[in-house]
Amino acid sequence: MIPAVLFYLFGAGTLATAACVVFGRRAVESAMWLIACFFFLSAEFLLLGFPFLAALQIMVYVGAIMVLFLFVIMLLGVQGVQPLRGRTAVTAGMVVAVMLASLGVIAAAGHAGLTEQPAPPDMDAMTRALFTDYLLPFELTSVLLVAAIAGALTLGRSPRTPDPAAPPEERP
Amino acid sequence: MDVPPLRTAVTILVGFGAMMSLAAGMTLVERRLSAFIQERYGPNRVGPFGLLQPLADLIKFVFKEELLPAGANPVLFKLAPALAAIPAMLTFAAIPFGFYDGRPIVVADMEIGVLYILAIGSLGVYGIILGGWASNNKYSLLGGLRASAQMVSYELSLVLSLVAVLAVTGDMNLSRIVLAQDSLWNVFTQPLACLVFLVTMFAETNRHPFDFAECEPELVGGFHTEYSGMRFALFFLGEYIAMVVMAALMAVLFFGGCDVPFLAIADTPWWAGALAMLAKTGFFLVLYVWVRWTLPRFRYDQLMWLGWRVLLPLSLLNLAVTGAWLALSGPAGPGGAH
Repeated sequence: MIPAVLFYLFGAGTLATAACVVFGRRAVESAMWLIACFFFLSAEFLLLGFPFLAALQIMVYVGAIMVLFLFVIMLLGVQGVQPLRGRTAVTAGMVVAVMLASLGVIAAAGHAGLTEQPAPPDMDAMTRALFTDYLLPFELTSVLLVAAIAGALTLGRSPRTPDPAAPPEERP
Repeated sequence: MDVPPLRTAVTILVGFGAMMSLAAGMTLVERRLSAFIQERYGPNRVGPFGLLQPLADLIKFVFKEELLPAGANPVLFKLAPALAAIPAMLTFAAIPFGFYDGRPIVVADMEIGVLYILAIGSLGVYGIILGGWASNNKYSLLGGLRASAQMVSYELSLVLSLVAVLAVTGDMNLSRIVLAQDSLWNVFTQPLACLVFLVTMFAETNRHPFDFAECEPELVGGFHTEYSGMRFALFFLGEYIAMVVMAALMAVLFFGGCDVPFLAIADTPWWAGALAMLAKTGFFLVLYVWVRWTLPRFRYDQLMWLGWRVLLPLSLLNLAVTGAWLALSGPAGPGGAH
C-alpha cells in the first residue's frame, strides 16, 4: 500500500517539477527544477527495485550532465538564453504535442499497466546481457556519442582561430 | 537486511556523532598541525590543548549576522550551503567501520555502496556552483565555475580508478570489498589506481593543492566570499565531512578497511577493527593537512593538464591492464582473480 502511494507521490513530483522546468522564467531555476525532476525519477526506480539504475540516474544526469548545463548557463549569462516567441514557439509546441501523443498511443497499445512488476534483475545478469545480447546496440550508442562530440567540436570551433590550443596572447 | 531495528538506530546515532566529531576535530587538527608546521602555537587556549576550540567556533558562527548581498538570488543563496553539507553527510552512511556480531558496522549496507557514494558525492559541487552564482559577485561566480569544471574533469579519473578495483574484487558492496582484502590489500594489487585515487581525492574535495574554487590570492574567498555566520560554517562542515568520507573510502577500498595487518578479520575483536579503520582514516585526514601546508598551489591550466593528460590516460591504462590480466588469469566473474 505504502509503495503505491509513494509511487504516485513521486510520479506527481516528477510531473510537477518537469512543468516547472518548462515554465520557469530563469535558466538557472529551470535547471534546478530539472535536477529535482531527476531525483523524483530516481526515487521511482528505487521503488520499482532497480537501485543500480537509480544510482546511475543520479550519477550521470545530476552529477555530470547537469553540472555542465549549469556551467554553460552561467558562462552565457541569463541574457544569452532567449525565450521562444511567435511562430517558433508554435512550431516547437506542435512538435512536442505530436511526440507526446505518439508516446501515449504506444503506451496504450502496449502493456503499460503497473499490475505485473518484473522481478528486478541482479547486476551480474544485467551487465552480462548488456555485453552479450545487446552488444551491438551498446557499441552503436557509443559511436553515436563520439559522432555527436566530434560534431559539436566542429560546429563550436570558431573559424577565425584555426588552432584553439594556441596560447591566448597570439589571438587578436 | 534482517538487521534488528534497535541496532540500526544505535548505528545511526553513533555514526552521526562520529561523523560530526571527526569533522569538528578535523578543524582543530588542521589548525594545530598547520601551526606546528609553521612553528606557531595555534589555538591552545580553549580547554585542555585547545580541545574545545571547535565548540567555541560553533558558538561564534551561530551568533554572527547572516548577510544577504544586494542583487543575490535569496532562495538559491540560502539553499546552497545546505546543498554543500547534506550530500557529504549522506555519503557517510555507506562507510563500513568494522564487523560486529558477524555483520558490518554500517548505517546502510548497500549492494551498490560504491555507486551510491559516487552518485551522492557528486552532488556536493552544486552547493559550490549555486553559492557562487547566487551571490551576485564576480569572484564568487569564478570560483563556482572553476569548481564545476574541476569536478567534472576529475570525476572521470576517480570513477575509472575505482572501476579497476571493482573489477578485481568483483563486488560493489563496501563491506564485502573489505572482506575480500583479508589476505592482501588492494593497494598491492592496484597501486596505480590507488595513486590516481589519492590525487583525485584532493581535487574532488576542493582541497589544496587543487583549491581553486576558493583560491585566496586570486578570488578573495571564491564561492564563499559573500557568506557569513552559520551558512559559511555549513560550507566548511560539508568540506570537512567530504574529506572524512574520502579518507574512509581510501581506507576501505585500498587499505583493507577494518583489517588489522597479519590478523584475519574474523579473529579480530570488533573494537580493534574499528580502531584500525579509524587509524587508517585518520592517517589520510592528516595527509590532507600535511599536503596543504607543504605543497604550493597549482595553476588552473596545470590542474586541467594533470586531469586530462596524465590522470585520465593513467587510469584508462590501468583499467586496460587490469582487464587483460583478469581475462588471462582465469575464468571471468567474481572471485576469478584469486
